[in-house]
Amino acid sequence: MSTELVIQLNTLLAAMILLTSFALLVQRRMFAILHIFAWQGFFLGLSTAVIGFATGEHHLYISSLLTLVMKVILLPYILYTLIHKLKIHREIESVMNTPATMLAGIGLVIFSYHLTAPVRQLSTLMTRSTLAVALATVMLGLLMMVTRRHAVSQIIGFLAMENGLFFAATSATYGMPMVVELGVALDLLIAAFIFGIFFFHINTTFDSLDVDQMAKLKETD
Amino acid sequence: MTDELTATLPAVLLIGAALLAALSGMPMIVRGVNSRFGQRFATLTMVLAALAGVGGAFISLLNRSRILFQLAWPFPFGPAEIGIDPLTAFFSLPILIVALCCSLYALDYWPARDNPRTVRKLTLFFGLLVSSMLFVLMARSAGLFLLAWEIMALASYFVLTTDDHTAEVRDAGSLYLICTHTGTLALFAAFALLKSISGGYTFPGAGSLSAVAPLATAFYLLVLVGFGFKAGIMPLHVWLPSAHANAPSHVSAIMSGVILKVGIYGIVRTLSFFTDLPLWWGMVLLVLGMVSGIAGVLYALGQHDLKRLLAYHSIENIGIITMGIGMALIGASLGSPVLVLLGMAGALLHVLNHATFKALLFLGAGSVIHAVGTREIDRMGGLLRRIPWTAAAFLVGAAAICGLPPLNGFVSELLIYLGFFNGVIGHSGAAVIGLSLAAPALALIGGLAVACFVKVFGVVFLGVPRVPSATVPHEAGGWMRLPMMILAGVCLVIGVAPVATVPLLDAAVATWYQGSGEYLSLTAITPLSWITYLAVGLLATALMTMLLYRRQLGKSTVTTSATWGCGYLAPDGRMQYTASSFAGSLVDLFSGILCPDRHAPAIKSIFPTRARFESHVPETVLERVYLPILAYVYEKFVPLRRLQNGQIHLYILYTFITLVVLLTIT
Repeated sequence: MSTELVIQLNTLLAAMILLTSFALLVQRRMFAILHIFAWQGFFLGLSTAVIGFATGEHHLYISSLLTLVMKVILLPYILYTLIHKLKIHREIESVMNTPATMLAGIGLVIFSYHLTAPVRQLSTLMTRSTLAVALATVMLGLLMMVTRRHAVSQIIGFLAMENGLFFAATSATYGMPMVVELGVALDLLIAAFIFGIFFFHINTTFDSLDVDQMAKLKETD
Repeated sequence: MTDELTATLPAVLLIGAALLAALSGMPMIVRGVNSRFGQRFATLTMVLAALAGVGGAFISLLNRSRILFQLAWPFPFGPAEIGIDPLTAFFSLPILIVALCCSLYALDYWPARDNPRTVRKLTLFFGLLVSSMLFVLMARSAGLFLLAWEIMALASYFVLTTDDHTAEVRDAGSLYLICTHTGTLALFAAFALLKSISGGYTFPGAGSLSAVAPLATAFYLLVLVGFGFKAGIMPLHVWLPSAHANAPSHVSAIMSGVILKVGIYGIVRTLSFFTDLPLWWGMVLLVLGMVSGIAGVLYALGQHDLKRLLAYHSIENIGIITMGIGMALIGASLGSPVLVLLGMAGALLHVLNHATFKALLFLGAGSVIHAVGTREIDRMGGLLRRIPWTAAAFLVGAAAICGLPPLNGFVSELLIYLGFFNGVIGHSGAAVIGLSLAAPALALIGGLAVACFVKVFGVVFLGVPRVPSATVPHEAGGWMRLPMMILAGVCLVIGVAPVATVPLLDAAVATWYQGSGEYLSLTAITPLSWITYLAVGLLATALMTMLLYRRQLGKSTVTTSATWGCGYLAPDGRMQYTASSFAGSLVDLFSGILCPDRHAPAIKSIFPTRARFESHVPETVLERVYLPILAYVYEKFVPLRRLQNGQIHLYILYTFITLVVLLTIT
């Protein structure tokens, strides 16, 4: 496979990741969000494998496999069961309306490109052009956490942010050391358990997963 | 002894003492260790630590040895240095002596078998407190200093809140914690400034920085606030009365006797860095000292709570010490080594003296409270015959704190007086005005202190009991009497033979002030041997009078009745002078400063009905100044609190905005 083709392929996958990020931002139905999140993980794993193949860094295959297992199968499955068991798939209005969210997201993507412009000029890596997309994915994940009121959507926003960070690592330096990646994967798994416990407790305490309910916890003056 | 040995031996002994002190409470952590064993182990370790440390301090002071170690320890804020010099050694003396006495006292005052819940915490943190104070004295770099300082602040918080099931104790603890951390905040800023003045976080040598540097003034003011909170200098003293009143008595003794002195040490140490001092530095301290001294003793006069009263006397004595330091600074800026020596030696000796007699008074107060079960002076009376040992010890402490010969308070106050007179005679300008006002201020403090302790001793120990107590007051146990005797002994020895302290004071002052290099000793400029003759004469006269009085008493018949019975048919114990009525005229005279609360009944008819009179001197500075200001600030910041509205996505938004802003500007 020629380098040119790899770059083309990688850019295509980056575009797909960005597309899924926007889809996550505006999708309202809980199960659809899970599906999109799984797709994002799938594109991420594929992109990692492509970079691993092109650069000959074989540990990236393991990263790719880990990503596929964790983010395409395991995490969506855990969240799916949780939503199913706790019967919390009811949708909750988001804080901002859809067009405004989209506009803010587009602004963030432009901002990311602006920020990474100096890096693109200095870097010699073949993945340099996707760094902006990685940063945009982080920001869109954060934006999702800000705009959603449902705890599960907020967690997915958080996980999307993590996807963005992972993508940034592969595109900026061809991936983190293996030990770090294993650690991060383990952390994610533990985070999923903790989310599960928290969902359960929030749900039993407030009878809802609307995080606005938690404002009741604040001390009054 | 070789030179190297004389330099390292005190360091080994003092560092060993600090480590032993920290170790003393450690067995208490282990649940399986019997707390009675733990307490005895702690006391034994503390005695060893005190003996080793006092030995080390004396060697260091007599040889004027200095030594500096750099710790092989990667530490934030530059290299960590530990040093021993005469100044450190001098300040470690009161710490070790008072810690020894308090540790012995605790065996009977806070016995493990009666206090199983609190004794572990108290013993552990007491050891850590003593150890951290010693490390504060030895630290020679900002990082290590602040570390030890914070451990000291937290350890003293935990010993102070030993009785944490009482709301009053918890409030006193919180107030203390707020004040000490505000002070530490100022210290952080001060040491950051020190880095830009001297170029490093290690402490510069004495007189190595110029005080005319632009940042030096800011450093001085921050140091005053930071250490002033700990020392309890007047407008920053608000934590002190409630903290000292609510702690267990031996903790009050160490807090009042020693922790305040660590604040004084901080001021003395940081000011030693500078040379070319402007005159106003000294004047500020002198005025602060006068304010603390006079206001402290006035507030003390109005108190009914024995330990609260003693706490206000600590503020008074800190005022006297501050006046001495202020005079030394004035001397340094005028280039007068005599003023420096008299001021600083007086201040340092008063540090040692106040530590001993105030610890003695607090331990005595502890015994009194143990005996009668209340801190209210007005519910005591006639205790002299019931608890004679405690009464005698308390009397020694009371005479010493009033600055009466033949006790130690007289010596240090005399040095400060001599300094004032010297300064007024030999100089001109603004300094003379300050110094000539300070002498009468010190006299006023002394006079009011005498009035106050006449009140305390008279009301508590003389007369007959005011309130019939449920149980007969009992004398303190042996372990409580022994430390009081030790402290009373120290008071008497320094009072009778002040010459013995001269080499120690000379060494400590020489470390603080290099000056023009000429060697000056206290013996040359003060009539210390006359004090000895005077003291011996006074003691002999007192002894003779007592013997004659005893013989006379044996011949005559003795009747017992209430004081000021005045021919009433049925005089009652409650008709005696109370603490409030004794101090009433003085409190009235100064009511503009004290703002006492008075609830007097209005007499409306010819035959008055049942009535109730109450008077109380509150912590006016706290209640009339700080709390209204804080309430006002709280009110004004209400809109700002809307930022914290409990909405999680808004919190995430704050993070998001911060991130974007940081990414944009970097």
